[in-house]
Amino acid sequence: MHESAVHEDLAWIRSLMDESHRFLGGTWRHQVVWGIVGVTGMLGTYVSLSTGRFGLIPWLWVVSIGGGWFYSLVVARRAETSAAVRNAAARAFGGIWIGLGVTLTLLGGLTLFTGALEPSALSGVIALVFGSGYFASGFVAGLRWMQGVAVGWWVGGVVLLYWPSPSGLLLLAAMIVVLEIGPALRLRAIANRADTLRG
Amino acid sequence: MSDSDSFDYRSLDDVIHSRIRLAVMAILASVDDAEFTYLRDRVGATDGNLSTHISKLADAGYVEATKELTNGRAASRYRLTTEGRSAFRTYLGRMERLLGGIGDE
Repeated sequence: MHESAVHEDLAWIRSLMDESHRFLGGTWRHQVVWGIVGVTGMLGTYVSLSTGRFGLIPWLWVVSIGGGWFYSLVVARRAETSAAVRNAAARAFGGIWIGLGVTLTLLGGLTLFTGALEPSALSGVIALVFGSGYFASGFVAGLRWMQGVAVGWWVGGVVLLYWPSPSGLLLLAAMIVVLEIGPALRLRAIANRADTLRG
Repeated sequence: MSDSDSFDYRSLDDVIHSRIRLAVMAILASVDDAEFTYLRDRVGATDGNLSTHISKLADAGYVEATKELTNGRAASRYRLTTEGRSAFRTYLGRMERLLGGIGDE
């Protein structure tokens, strides 16, 4: 056998290992669902503020966040057990986002029901937490573009904290579409990629 | 072809040294476990061909299979055994040494 053939074999082995190691399977579904939860909540809150229906806001979030957790803990649990591949990257990815999801739920609850956090600061804090999540996720999955997404979240977070206003809710909703649902669709494309590695 | 163009592949594990079996071992070495369909799609083999190769790996004790009922269907999942992981590491090490040896000539 030629040396070049052995080099090709080794490169092929490495690419197979690399792809399988980084395979995140159906994790993108959580992002889409939570993205819809976030956009619904932000737009609903904006409309409630604009129309003076302040009492609706906490319940709007209770229902939307409750729906998100129901999906992640009940509906998606079944899908996870049937994932085509189980690997360390998907486990770490799930762990990061469950941890951050609990953090965001607590922050939101404390802000809405106790006033422990200034409501106008919540959007910026959410964006900064998302930035940390994407940075860590990109790191464990070896996806550099996801770390670029984190920078977008951090920049948006600084803007939202520096210029707090009700229209920040619209900015955050737009960020969720571009920087959460967008990356989720990219992960979906990676998971569905049909580039079989034929010898 | 000159001698320097060739490698001595006799030192390599025959069970692993097939393109499809090598691909299966490489994938399973980088995950906890994987479904048959994932392996088939990644390797680009037919169901029958892949089954034959996986059976050889299982007979050698390198791969173990489990059946799981998910969404109302039985799915076969595969993982590397400790012996299989060790054999794969040895195989890769020998491949790399062979290349290093050629590079030194």
